[in-house]
Amino acid sequence: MIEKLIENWLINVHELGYTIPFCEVLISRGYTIVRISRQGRGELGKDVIARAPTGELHTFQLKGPRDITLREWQNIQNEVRDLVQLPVIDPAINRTETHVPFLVTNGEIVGDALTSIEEYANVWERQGHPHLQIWRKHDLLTMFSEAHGSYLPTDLVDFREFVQFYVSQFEDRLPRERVARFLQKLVRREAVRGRGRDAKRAIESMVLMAGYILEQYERAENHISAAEGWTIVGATILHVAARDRVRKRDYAPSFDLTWTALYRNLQNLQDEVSKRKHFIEPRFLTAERDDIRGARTTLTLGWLAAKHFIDSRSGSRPIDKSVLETIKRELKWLRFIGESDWPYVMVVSLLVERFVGAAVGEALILKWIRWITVINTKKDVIGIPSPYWPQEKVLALLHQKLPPYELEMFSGESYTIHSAMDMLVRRLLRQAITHFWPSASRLSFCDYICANDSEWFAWRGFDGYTRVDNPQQPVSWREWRRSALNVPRASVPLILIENSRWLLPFALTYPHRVTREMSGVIDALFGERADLVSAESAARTRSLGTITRSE
Amino acid sequence: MQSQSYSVSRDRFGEPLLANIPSHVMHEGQGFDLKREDGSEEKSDFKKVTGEILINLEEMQEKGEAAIDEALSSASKQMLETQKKMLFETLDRTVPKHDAGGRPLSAEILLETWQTMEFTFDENGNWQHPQIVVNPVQAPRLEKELKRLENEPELKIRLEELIARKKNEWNDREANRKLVD
Repeated sequence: MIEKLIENWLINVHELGYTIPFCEVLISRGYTIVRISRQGRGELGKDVIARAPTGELHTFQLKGPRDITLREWQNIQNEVRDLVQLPVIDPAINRTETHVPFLVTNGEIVGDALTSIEEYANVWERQGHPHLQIWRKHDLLTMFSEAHGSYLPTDLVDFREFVQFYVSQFEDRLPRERVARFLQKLVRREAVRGRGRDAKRAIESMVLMAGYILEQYERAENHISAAEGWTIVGATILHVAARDRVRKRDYAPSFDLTWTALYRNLQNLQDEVSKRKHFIEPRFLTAERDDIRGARTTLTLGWLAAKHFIDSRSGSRPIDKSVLETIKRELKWLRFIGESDWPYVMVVSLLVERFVGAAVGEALILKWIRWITVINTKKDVIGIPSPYWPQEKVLALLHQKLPPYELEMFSGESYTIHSAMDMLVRRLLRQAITHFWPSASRLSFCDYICANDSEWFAWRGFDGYTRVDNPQQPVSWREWRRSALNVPRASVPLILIENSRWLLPFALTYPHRVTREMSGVIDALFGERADLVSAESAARTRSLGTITRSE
Repeated sequence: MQSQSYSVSRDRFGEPLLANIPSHVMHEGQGFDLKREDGSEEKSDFKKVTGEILINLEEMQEKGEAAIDEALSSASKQMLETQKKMLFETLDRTVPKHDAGGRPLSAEILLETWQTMEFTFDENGNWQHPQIVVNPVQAPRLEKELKRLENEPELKIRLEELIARKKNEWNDREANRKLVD
């Protein structure tokens, strides 16, 4: 049954949409991906360049989903000629190295087109160029099926869930928790049956399954949901890798490919935003209330800011002017609706303090602290929903669409205010802290402390503890400052620090994992306001987990 | 079904003691690690609290949905009793005890007990009366002794003095909510 769905997806998807899953199939066949062209603009006719397990260099041009007729062949002939005749130009490849070109289509080649293509291939070969190979729909179907191996969900419940994802409303927000739980199930311990090759195959199959769902969000130009989805895929890979101690070489190709997919969506988001003069959704104009628009603005600005920091860490590029203008223009529309907004607020404030002005960034953090202090110290109010409540659920609550059994009480505690106050402490805003502390200190400061790396990357953990901290009084400014400035490196998984480009997407997609320490790491790496120190060094400066009482 | 589960496990109305305690949902993990303002720490694992439901179909045929409510109410009681037991275990461990030495409940004993406690006051400085939990048999006596506190001049003065002292202590604690060097 599920094979039929995959076939249905494959024969209907546009060439750009199946590029990432196709690369995952290549990885499963032992290929190493060298380059994927951006946005389908095949460089010299080459959409994908990969090294085969034999060591040969293979180049691919992807087409589809329409059948290739003779007329279509005439349209694409020049691109295919470039594919065959022009060398691979890539810093990692010697220009003189020969390559094997592949024309790949998820449709059929019909009528006289096949004869014509083969004839051209023969002519080019006689001229001394490599022989053009052709992969068609049935070849791809076989390869996709082989890539899944025995890792396709066979359980009816899983199948039903996949179908629900497959026919979702792709303009809606991705149901992150459900998707994360589904993907985790595909690579659960009993399914993976071991480390090495089995884990590798399970990961590859999981990435493909995710690709079938996420490609449809991409097609709907729901860039943020697609980016969140690929972040969940990356986190799920790290979850298995940590749980089963999978060797890096067995998961790195899929993990890197997942990054490519995630980044493409961030680029698409930035491209779209740069062209727009507002964030209003004209399709749902009557629903365009300030809180809904505000929540969308928070999400969008958060991801845009995250992309800037990702780019700047990979090559220290200046900020894109249109992004900066957009952020300045939309900042006034940003709304806080729940504590799951914290990572967005933090990353926007980091960007704004650097490019607009320190006071503007600090004002955003102050606003956050004031908001939580005023509401969550009140008795007999629900309070501000915790980071376990995604924005869409908070909006449902605000618009009275939530069933009563889902209600919770949040007053009296906060999962984020201590992280926000740490930011002010790092910025020497003692007066502001002095002002807020008497009321903020009435709240319990909560954080979920994961038991191990594997749990960090699972949507929900079972082995960790919620740390509930009620600080002793009075509090020493000097001690607080010392601990806030020295963030223990080991308080987040090392793999996130080593792959710091994943840090912000992970924080935005998993807000309940943004602990006080994680916020400190982000402020250290992207705000450059703290140092990452060894556990011993952090212990010397006292635990960041507790605001230290004055001696 | 979900709303029925809710009424059994989360709705504490009808249980005055538990209903007054704020409840917070913890979404993951095996427990919590609490650090109190006084510096004490406590690590606590979640404990499974269950209640059994038995619905007799013949009874349901007779009573209709009331039979379901009765069964749910019984399960709810079992769970609330377990929660209360857990609450008192924690209180026994964490709150100072005042042993009345077998004397009957009186206004004097209430004053003695309150002397060992911290009082809280609202933003206008009004005393937030502590909640008193007694066996229902003791309720009329408690009411009588509370009246004595209000009406007997000597007791009234002692209570006012106690409140004034506790207010000073509270003020000191509140003034302590500050940053120092």
